[in-house]
Amino acid sequence: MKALKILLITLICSSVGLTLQAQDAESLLKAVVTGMDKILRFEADALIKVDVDFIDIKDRKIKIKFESPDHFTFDAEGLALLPKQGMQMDYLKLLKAKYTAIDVGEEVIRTRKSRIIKVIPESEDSEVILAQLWIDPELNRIMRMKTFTRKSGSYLIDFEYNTNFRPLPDLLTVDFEISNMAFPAKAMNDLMSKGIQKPDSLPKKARVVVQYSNYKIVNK
Amino acid sequence: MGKLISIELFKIFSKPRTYIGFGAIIVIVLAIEFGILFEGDMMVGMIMQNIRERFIFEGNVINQYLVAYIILNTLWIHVPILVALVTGDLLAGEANSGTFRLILTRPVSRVQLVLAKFIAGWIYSVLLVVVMALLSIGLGLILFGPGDLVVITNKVNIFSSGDVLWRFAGAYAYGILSMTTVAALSFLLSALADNSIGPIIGTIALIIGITIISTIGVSLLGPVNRFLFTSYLPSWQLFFHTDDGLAKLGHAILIQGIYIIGFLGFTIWYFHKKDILS
Repeated sequence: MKALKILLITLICSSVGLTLQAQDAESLLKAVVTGMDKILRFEADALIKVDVDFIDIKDRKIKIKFESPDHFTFDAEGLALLPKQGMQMDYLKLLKAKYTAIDVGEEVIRTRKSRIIKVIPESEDSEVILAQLWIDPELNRIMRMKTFTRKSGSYLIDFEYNTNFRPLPDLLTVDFEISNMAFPAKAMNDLMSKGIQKPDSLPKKARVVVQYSNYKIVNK
Repeated sequence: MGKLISIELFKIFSKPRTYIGFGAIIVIVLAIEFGILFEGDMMVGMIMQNIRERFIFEGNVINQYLVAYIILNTLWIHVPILVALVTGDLLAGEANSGTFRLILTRPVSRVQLVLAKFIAGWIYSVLLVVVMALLSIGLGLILFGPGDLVVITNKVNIFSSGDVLWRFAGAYAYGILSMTTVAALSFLLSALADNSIGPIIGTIALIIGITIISTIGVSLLGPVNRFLFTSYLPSWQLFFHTDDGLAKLGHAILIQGIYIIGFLGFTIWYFHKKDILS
């Protein structure tokens, strides 16, 4: 009987603990959203460096414009390759929908103590099926984010800040994997010089670094 | 010599077949440009599917340079035929119509005559490439606008629009060089024949035949391949490689130069000692 009581108390305590943990995680995520929601619009310049084994592109300068709630425009000098995740505050869309959040611990990211929170979207249509966010609880900013998507694989996004007052990053590093061209590139090329090429189909590591500057932010 | 060349040019441009070449270039460029205008998005989407799954393309992918690049790829297919159509007729046409004896009674040396005919044929070949260049880039600008060039080889090279024009200038200049080799070959065959059908078909048959054999039988002709002029017809693409492309160009230009001198030298030697019977 005594053992049963102890088991019951342990179960109640752990479930209460989990609920409190979820509440903490959710309040932290809400604080991040609140910080971002203060922004009515912003403009910034960005320098994009693409580091992919089989893509040869020089650094590109682009102008970014954002209008609340989620409208982004990019004005590139020539052709720019932007990562599908990371540059369009995708986390806001994720955090404004229904989700389940679990606080799974703490980790130091670039000298800042960060809470690790797993986010599972409840919508079946969500492109992101699981996300893990490292959040600085003091400044309510995302330090790192790992997303697992339905169609475009997983992304690890690092957010670096030069100031303590701005919720927007100064440096964004997006890491992901990408396969080489599956389609024979011969459609645009010659059959004479090398015959049919067989590109390496193994996924390659890709990195895109976005360096932001000249932020002009208008708050609500 | 200038007078001789202008006379030969007058003869070339008096023949309707000369305009088949320009007509064909115009039709091909128009067909490709309008084809890309209507189906280009699908084509590019299919080719770059993997990249588009991970990246957003910001900017104009289908632009005048991409279209001009695609059209340049046809350079080794149909332009040699159009070049041979005229240069294969330069000497054989005279032999066929029996005008050589009349021409050679004039105070003109055989070497001068051969050189004047070859230079006139070369000018025609240059004009074909120039028309192709101007039409593909000019019409491309109107239909698609400017932009950076995406070239897919064994990797994806994206060139800034400011870094593209010199590459195209080089590619077209190299195209002129490789078409000069084709012109020299058909000119040589033209000296050997008494009617123009043989040299025209012979030139095309040689180019296609050698290309097929050297492509299919790579292992058989491997060591010889690097000395065949047909291996270097598409070498203009080296201008759009970022790695060791330009380093390989020297060898390609050297081989083409040797063939041009060889073909033309043989033609002059052969025509100089040839019995003119017609």
